Amino acid sequence: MTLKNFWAHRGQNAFIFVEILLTATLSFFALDAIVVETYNIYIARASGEFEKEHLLVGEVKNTIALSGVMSLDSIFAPIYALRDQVQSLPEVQSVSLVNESFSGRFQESSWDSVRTETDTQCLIAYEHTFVSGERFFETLGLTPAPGSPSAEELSEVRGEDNVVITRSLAQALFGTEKVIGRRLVWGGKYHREEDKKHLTVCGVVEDVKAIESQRYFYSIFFPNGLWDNSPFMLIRLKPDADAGAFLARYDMPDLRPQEGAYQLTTLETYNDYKKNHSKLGEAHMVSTMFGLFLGILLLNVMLGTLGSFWLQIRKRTEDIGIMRSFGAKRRDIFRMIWQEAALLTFVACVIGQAIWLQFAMNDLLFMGVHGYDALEHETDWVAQFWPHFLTVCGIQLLLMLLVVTLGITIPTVIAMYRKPVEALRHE
Amino acid sequence: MSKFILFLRHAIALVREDKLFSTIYVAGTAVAIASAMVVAIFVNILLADIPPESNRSRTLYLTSYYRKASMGNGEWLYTQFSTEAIDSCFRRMECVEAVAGFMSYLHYLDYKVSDMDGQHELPVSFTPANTDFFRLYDFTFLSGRPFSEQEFQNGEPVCVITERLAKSLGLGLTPNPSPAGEGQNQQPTPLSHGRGAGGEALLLADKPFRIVGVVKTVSYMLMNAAADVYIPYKVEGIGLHPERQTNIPYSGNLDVHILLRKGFTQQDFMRELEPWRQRYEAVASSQTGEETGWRVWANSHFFRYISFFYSRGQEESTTLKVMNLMPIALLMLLFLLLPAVNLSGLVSNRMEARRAEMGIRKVFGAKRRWLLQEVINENLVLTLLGGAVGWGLSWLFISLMRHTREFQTLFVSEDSKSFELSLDPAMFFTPTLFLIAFLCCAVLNLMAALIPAWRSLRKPIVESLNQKR
Repeated sequence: MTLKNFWAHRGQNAFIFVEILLTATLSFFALDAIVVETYNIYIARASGEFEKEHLLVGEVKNTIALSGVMSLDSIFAPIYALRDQVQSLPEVQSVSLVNESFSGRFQESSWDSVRTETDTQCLIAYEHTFVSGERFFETLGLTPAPGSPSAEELSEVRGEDNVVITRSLAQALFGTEKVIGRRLVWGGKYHREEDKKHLTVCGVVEDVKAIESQRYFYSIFFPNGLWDNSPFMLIRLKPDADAGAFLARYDMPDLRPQEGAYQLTTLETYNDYKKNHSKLGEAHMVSTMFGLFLGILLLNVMLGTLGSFWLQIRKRTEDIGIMRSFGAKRRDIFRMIWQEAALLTFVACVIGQAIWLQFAMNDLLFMGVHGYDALEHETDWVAQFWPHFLTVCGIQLLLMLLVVTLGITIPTVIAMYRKPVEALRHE
Repeated sequence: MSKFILFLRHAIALVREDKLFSTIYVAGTAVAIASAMVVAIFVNILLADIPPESNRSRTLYLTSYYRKASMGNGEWLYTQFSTEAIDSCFRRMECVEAVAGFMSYLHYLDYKVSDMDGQHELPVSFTPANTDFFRLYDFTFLSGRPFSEQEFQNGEPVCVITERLAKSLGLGLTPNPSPAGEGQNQQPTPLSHGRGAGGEALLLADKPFRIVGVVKTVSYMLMNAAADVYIPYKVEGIGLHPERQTNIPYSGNLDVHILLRKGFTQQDFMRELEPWRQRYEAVASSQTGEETGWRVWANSHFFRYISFFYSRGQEESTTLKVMNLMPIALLMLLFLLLPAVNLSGLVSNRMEARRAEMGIRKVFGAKRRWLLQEVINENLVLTLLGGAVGWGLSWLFISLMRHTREFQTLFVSEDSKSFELSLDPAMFFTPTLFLIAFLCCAVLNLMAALIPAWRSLRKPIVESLNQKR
């Protein structure tokens, strides 16, 4: 019956069929990006991430203009004094200065290739720096993996070639977490060959999701000195301290920590800081832009279905009247029209997706905003072609069905509730 | 004329006859036109001459690179310009009308202003600039004047502020009745104050500045001219360093924007600059005792913001402009194409209903071409109606979107502490935009109505007349 109706109205349905088909093809990439980024942001989680409720992020700035030529020591001395002042507050457990906010300015984090010295296959890892001697790991709350030096010892790591890596990276590169002293080759594949560096692993810490859209938790921490005269300050409060009360006190300018020209100009919880900055992250922007594009296309499909089915149902009022007078129930009418629309959507969508498949097979499946092109060894659904393609196809089909159902609802409900006598008298 | 009125009456009667069809058609058209017009308006905001950036079509944006023989790897290093570069080189060129030198990066620092009592402390973005800044950017002075050349050269602590800041500081300045758009030409007029003598100055980074002018607030969508406070960059004591302590005389910390004289192009500028550049290289090499190179790139406003197929140094031409506009045009066409398919379906359904009418008219001698033209024209009335609604929707969309952080990031840095993305009528209602909207409507109308109308009119008369039997 549905197939018969579908075929009988093929002329009237042709335009909406073409529109759904084109929309399915043209919107696939946008939907793919949104699905992957949503998975990356909200679903992919690092196991055993650090405690965030008692972690605060502040910005240190000079509030008075500096004059004359100043030595580095004279610039940084008041910053260290400010840090000590914050450290001495009773609620504070530890403080760490960082040149750029760790896990805050997501879009600014850089990545590069990494491999073992004996391997040729590369992974992509994120690069983070910490200031040696600044109690970075204990302040952030990153727990060392078994067999790794303590957080206090890792915070003291120095030297250009020494690094700390995450547990996932150790597993992916060496197949074990016990990798102290093992060697890595950092960079070179995507940038210049001369940027290649040979590194020694000094410690392994728990996975951390440093970038909003990070799917694989491969990170490398490089020790560094303090060079930024507007650094960030990570503050870990004691477990029994109230972060809200601490921030309320900070809001009173007279109580705000200050040392010479330097002041802790902003202070917020790690979660708030991350939330405020994530909106500006590349992944969020990509999702928003593609979301707008997709929204416009779907709105068009909805209007198209609404118009097309409304005019069609008006023409079929007499048929509906006959069906109703022969005992068809209202839900039968709705089911008949919905099945017709669903079949049309299904066929158009599948053909549209089959067209996009040609592009998808030529590397046009979205893998993420950051360079994920070394995926050969990954086993999650995003990295696998068919699971990835079919997942997005399924979501697209459901979305289209939803939009088309919304489009047919008003005309169908009107047809359902028309009295059989009235419907039969319709011209 | 009477024919046109007859047509219009007929079209309006058709619109009213089938209100359901008309409503759905207008809604579909409005969404299509709104999507395309959002793109067009966005490009208009980026490219059109909108006060105070009224001279965008004559503005060049300079960037500069230098290298010295001692810098082993032969890399060119990015640098901005010094006052000497402005005075000894650019200002002496014939094709140049004004050279605006200013420091833009300070937008991102935490500077605050307050009134002289230290009250009403506010975060601001400010632009330290020279006097030509007010020649290049056509500010509307509500009161007062720009700072003078003498005040600039002496590094006097004077400032021009926006109306928004004046109001926030409670200065209550009386608007100047002089016409809009004459910022740099008008005669200086005294400031009048709502709060007495205390209102004529403010504290910027704890230093008192005398307010010499108040300008109409500039939307941060006009990224080059927008700020809250404009001061001479030669003011000392607030941590400005317009000059660099290097032995490369033209290297400094100033951004330079050039206003070309009318009739001159980017190519003319580059041609005239070449001997100056060579002379400078020779002088710099002899001064530093090693071979010194200097390169200057000049981008017109268009290629600074639209550069899909443009790389720096490429010669700018109209063909290249058209090429760079193609992706935008394609996106707009895509936004029109899908709704056109949808609208075609509606027109097709309607033409089915009008087959008998068309049959009768053909029997009485109407030609297919006339009927086709009539159907398309009738449809155009609906499309234009939808177009007008769509234009309104696009304005509404941008008005709402400007409050979102994602949209704001396109115009201001995430670090900016103070900004206002206000909308100006010149961003939405220009002859160009009107023409684009009309073209979009015409294209959409043709795409939507032509095929179904043609298909319907091709059917034999007898078949059409038999439709209602």
